[in-house]
Amino acid sequence: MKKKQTTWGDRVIIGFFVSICLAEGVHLAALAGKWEFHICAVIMGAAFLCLAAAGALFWGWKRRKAKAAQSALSAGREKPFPYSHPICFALILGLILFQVIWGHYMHQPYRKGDITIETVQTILASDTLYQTNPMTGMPFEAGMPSRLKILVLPTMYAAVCRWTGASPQAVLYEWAPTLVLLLSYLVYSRYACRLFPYDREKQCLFMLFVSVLYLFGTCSPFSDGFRALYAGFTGESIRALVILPYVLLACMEKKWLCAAAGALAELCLVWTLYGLGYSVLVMACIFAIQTAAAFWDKKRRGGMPA
Amino acid sequence: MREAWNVVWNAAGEGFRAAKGDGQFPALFFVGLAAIAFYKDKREKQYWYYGILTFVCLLFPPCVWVLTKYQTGFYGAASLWALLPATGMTAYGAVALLDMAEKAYGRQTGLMGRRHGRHVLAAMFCAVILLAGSLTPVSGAADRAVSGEKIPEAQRAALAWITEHVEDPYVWAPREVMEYARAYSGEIRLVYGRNMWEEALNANTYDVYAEECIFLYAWMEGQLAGAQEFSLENMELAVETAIQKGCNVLVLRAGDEWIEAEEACVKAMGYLESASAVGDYRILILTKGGAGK
Repeated sequence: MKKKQTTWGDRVIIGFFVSICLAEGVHLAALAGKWEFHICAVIMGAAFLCLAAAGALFWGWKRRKAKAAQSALSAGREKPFPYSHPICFALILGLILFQVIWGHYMHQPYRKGDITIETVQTILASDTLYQTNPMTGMPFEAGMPSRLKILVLPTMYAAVCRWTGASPQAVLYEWAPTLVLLLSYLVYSRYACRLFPYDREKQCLFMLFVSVLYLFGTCSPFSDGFRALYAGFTGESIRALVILPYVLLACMEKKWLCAAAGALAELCLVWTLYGLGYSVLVMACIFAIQTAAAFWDKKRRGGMPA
Repeated sequence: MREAWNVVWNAAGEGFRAAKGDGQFPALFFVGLAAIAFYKDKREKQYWYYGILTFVCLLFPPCVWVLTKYQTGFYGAASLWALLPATGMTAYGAVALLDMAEKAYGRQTGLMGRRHGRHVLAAMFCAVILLAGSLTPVSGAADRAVSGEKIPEAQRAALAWITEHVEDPYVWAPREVMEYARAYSGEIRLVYGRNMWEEALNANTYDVYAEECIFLYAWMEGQLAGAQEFSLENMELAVETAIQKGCNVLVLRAGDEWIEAEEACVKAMGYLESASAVGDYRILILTKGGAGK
């Protein structure tokens, strides 16, 4: 069986998914144990540090292992990307930079139907998890649905605020959308490599069109462009811009474990049908398509004369 | 049966309209799909099949109904459009179209020659994307001057003043201030929150508002809407109710004609500790709901 290669882009995205799942574990423990938030933040920080250390060790080991093979292959390779198409590279970089600057300084976030910022402010002010109504600041009387309590995103943002001392506005409306935007471009760069292997020019064009689609695609709150530029901090945006495209790609490459990691991350960020989300639907669709294609291929070959 | 079909049809239609917004990106997506169909060098047919499958499902009302049930109706049909690989497939289709156009055009001269023809075509495609999309966001998303905290300047000034001058503020204010209060600071408590007027947010809590909260909201918004009689007639009752709830900050719009009458009413009732004008608002600190600094 041919070994499936994972690129550094895969590792970064999987690292992101694993971080979310890890944070979810700590968050659930904090909910169950009724911990104060500052304890939860410390444990979450320690868990992230351990994950980063383990990831760095694993990556270093993998690089060392692959070094010999790489040096043998590197002779006679084509020029690396930025030097082969400098104008296109500068154009894409400029567009991405503009979108990041837009996210930081020029936009007003879209908050309709979303109370993430209120929830983060409440967690920080009360030092508790989901015991105070984020919309009024008063203690809950009847409580809140547990399907929403399990979502980790506000706790993660609050933990980042606690570690860095940054304001919730900066973390939610500047840092998080930038991270999501860059991860989204990372996913689409993997698409570019997959759809146009060894063709740098088409890869560049693909990325250019993606960045233009983001820039001019703010016509609906449900469009990718709008999510990227105005609501990158929400779980739904992370799902639409990072998780679903990556899960789709991973399924196409038959990296089912990576796709499962995406599905798990979705479960931690967006309330889904009791554990099943859009990612599972995507996985089922691609699996069905692959099975049907294999069946059709087998049938066609079987029907051919010897 | 016909009614059920109408419900399903309308839900799917609304989902499509909301997802499409002011742009024509579904049309671009369809062009992308069609371009890939004719593209001989296409890879990853499964990606293309997936695009077709989701597009058909999202346009076919019974499928939309099934998918909406799958997500238990918590999110609307428009959220389902996240399943469509719109950005990737459109970009893929654009590259395919460009490649096919270039191959067909390669034998000809004109359009700045063979060397720059592809760049001109790429720029034209970007222009098509711009024309099908939008340079400005959907209305209401970015129409106000914002401060560093991403809060409109007038509201931010009022909220900053409150947190600076009132200990443990419990605020009753116009909707536009209440909307940003909890985003500005977790220390500010409110008589009612955004879920009073954004019904979708009620999914976040099992708590329901008491009658007096609904009355306070109606009074404040009635005042904002210019219903002067409603405002002044119920002023005493409204202030009394707010005080009973423990409210210690009342924010009024400075531009209102009858603001002096309102302030005088609060003063006559013996609840006014101090009043200050902060930008567009008049902020009254009340004595019996809590302690002002």
